[in-house]
Amino acid sequence: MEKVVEVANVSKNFKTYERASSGFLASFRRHYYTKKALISVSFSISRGQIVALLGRNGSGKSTLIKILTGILYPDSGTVNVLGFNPWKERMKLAWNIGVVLGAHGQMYWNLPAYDTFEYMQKIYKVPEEEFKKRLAHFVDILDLKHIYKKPVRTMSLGEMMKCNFVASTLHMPQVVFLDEPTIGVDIMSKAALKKAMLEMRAKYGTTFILTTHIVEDISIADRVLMLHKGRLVFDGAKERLEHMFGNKREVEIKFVPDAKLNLDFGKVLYTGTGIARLEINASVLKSRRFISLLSSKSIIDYSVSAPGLSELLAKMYTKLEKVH
Amino acid sequence: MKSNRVGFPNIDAYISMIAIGIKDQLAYKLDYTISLFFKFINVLFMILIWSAIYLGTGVASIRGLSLPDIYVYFFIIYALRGVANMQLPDVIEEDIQEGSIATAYTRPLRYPIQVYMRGAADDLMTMLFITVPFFVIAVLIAHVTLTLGTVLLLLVEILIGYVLVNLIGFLVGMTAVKLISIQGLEAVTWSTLLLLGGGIVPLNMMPLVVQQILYLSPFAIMLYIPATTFLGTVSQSIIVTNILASLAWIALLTVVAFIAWGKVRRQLTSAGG
Repeated sequence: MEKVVEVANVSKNFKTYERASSGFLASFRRHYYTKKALISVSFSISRGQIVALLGRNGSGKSTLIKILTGILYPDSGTVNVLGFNPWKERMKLAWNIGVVLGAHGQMYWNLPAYDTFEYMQKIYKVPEEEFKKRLAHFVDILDLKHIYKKPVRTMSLGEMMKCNFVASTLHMPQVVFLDEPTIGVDIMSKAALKKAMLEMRAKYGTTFILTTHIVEDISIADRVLMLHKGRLVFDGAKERLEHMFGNKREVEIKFVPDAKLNLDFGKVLYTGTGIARLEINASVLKSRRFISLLSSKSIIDYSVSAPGLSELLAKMYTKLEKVH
Repeated sequence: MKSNRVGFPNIDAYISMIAIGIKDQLAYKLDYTISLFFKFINVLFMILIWSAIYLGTGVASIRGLSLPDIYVYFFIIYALRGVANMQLPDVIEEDIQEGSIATAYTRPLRYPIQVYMRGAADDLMTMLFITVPFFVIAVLIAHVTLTLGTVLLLLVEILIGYVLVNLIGFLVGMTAVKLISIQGLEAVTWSTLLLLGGGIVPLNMMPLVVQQILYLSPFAIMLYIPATTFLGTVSQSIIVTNILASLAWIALLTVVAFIAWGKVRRQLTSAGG
């Protein structure tokens, strides 16, 4: 499949400083050090993929996005986006990409969003008819009918983000970068944005790369890239992430109070009169011994739940902190 | 896979940048009207101060300028201040501190030109609402006849002054990469420009040595030379010397701005990581 993004051994360091924690004289002294924002990161992305770039604050997500869009240059390594070197051919690349940089909106605060849309039309030379058609479509799927003609300063965060999305994609870019696109956005707006992205992908083969630390955002992604302290620590399907780190299941069993049960299947989280909660490996669910326990007459009811992605990520981050 | 749309200078985009900038300014019409009113009030203070100097000391003229000449001089100075103003440092500082420079960088437009165009939106408004009315007032109260040659010379001087003030503004704005706030530096630069450009005291009232130095500086052409060209009280040799010196300053400051921008461009790290 056609590669639209190719990143090989990209590293980026920032020179930064910290001050002594206390004392008047200490405030005049700075201790300079090099922060490794990205360490030898390599990956490629195919046309039409939706990729979630995950990681904690300071993991290097935004730096990577800024390198891919030509805002920053790497210290070493090679980057190719749509056949362009982003920091050497920034202007040429800019015609073909759309970028939403979180709260750093591109809307004119005092004017209706429509004015910014028209301005974007001029920048990207979108023909008038095409502009009207695309805008009408976006207004429809993002439910902007009563929003896009009022001043941006009166909009909610979610409304602003939807308008930002429209402003960045009216020219139908081949690759769209979204840096933290759902911060402060309500469920309905998130769903609308998701729908718009899936439609663009289906219709135009648009590739989306979004950074986030909001777990629900991953649901739209085909693939997850996880950065930790500048290193790419995971690259694969969301399901693989769950498989690698989410093989635990929580089982709640309700039983006849006097029943004598052998609950030696894993960690016992809680036991009470007629109720027990266990944490077991997913494979245990299929074991004959466990099945026979659940089918015994003493069991009144039971439920099995898998940990959510949030818990999985928390576990993963904890593990990574120990490794790196 | 490469797109055919190559980023040739996108004139439409830069023009629409000015258009949306003007719309943005007019979004709050009352605020804008009040700011215009204060600019009008400002020139009255200057006229009061100079009236006190002339009437208090009883002199009919100072270095060839009578009190009515001074009135015209300051109306012209305030008209020129509508053109020679420092918008760019504020634009650049805001972009760097709010991180919107990153967004500006993802568009198929050159950032320095984007900054100039955003400044130009503001300049056009002040030219329309400040420069034109003050010029009209100056023409009405002055007893001078403007020939076509004088008008053309004035336009050349104003254009050179406009380029210079924007080059200086761009350089001041770029210091925002290193400084938390550039308001102090901006105020000092503006005060220097006003003082050395003849915006507070006409340069011909300064000591001769200072005058000769200032005629070679980039400041005189921003205010003093056009104002005295209008009044017809400056010699042609001073005008020619100052225009040539100003063109040399444009060349020098353009080179400095290019080098500085190259360095600043590599230092822009923006927020996040």
